Amino acid sequence: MLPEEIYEHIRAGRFDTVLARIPYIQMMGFQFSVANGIVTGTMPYAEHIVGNAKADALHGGTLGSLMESTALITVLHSTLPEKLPRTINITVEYLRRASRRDTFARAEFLRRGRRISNLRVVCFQDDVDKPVAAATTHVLMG
Amino acid sequence: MRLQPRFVDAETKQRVRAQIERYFFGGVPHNRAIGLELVDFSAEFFHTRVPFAEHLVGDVERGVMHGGVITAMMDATGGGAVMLAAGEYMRVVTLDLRIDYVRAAEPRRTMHGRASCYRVAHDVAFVRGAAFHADEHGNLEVQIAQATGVFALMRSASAGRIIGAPEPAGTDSGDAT
Repeated sequence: MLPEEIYEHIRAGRFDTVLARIPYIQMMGFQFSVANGIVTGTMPYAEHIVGNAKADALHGGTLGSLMESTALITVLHSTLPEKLPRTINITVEYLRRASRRDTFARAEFLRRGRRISNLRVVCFQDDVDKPVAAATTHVLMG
Repeated sequence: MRLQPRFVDAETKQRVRAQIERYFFGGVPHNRAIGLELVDFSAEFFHTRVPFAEHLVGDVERGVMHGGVITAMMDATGGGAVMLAAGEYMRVVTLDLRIDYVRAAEPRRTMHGRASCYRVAHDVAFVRGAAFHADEHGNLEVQIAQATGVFALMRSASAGRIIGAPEPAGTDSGDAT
């Protein structure tokens, strides 16, 4: 069971106060915000997320990581489970080259279950209609 | 017929190892950021590891690394397996990668990644692998995740540089993500 104050932050969309404790999230620079009930994850451009400097491409693993984290935060925000949700699996599809700039991700429930949910995540940069990657993930609800 | 990479002698393998470490690890900023290391390789497999590090922790209570580290590690490991199976230094691009988290990682332990490419076609290659905690010999002790991936081969960018071939003066090796 999470402390009530953490729920307060998550309910209010103040993820940064909760995620500031997680070293990996800080290292990656992930930020999360909510507008109209939809969580958007942001991965600001940084040199250490590059996968191929010559090809001007971000590392595929960082896109997968952003999408996985965005799906988990979406579950947390929308269902306030008793425990932290956990990823069961994720399939990432790489659609276009992700160049060296800020990257965003949004997740939606395809099925919202009591124990297990399925979410579709889309990852984009300048143009939301030209996703750089997409993912399907099963999440064990807390 | 494609040419197989040959690591017939220790000297050749040492040279290939140095090339892989220089371009595939040192030359890829995010591989450096997670502390990815090369353990072993052949034409049949690619084996890497990420030693436990505080800045990679995703679960503070349990002291285990974030799942994103496994995704990045298996992406790089799968790409390495493809390159070695193809036998040429070339750009390898991930088309899709599935990660099944079969059990929780154990606190503060090194994560190993091992992948093999079981089919190389002209344009694409198919990979399966695992993330695991290893025993002292580097063999699988506890499996943490299963990985399945499909990669695209950028053969036009390979310039026919056969892995393990004697290095002509003044050339450098390929790049990969």
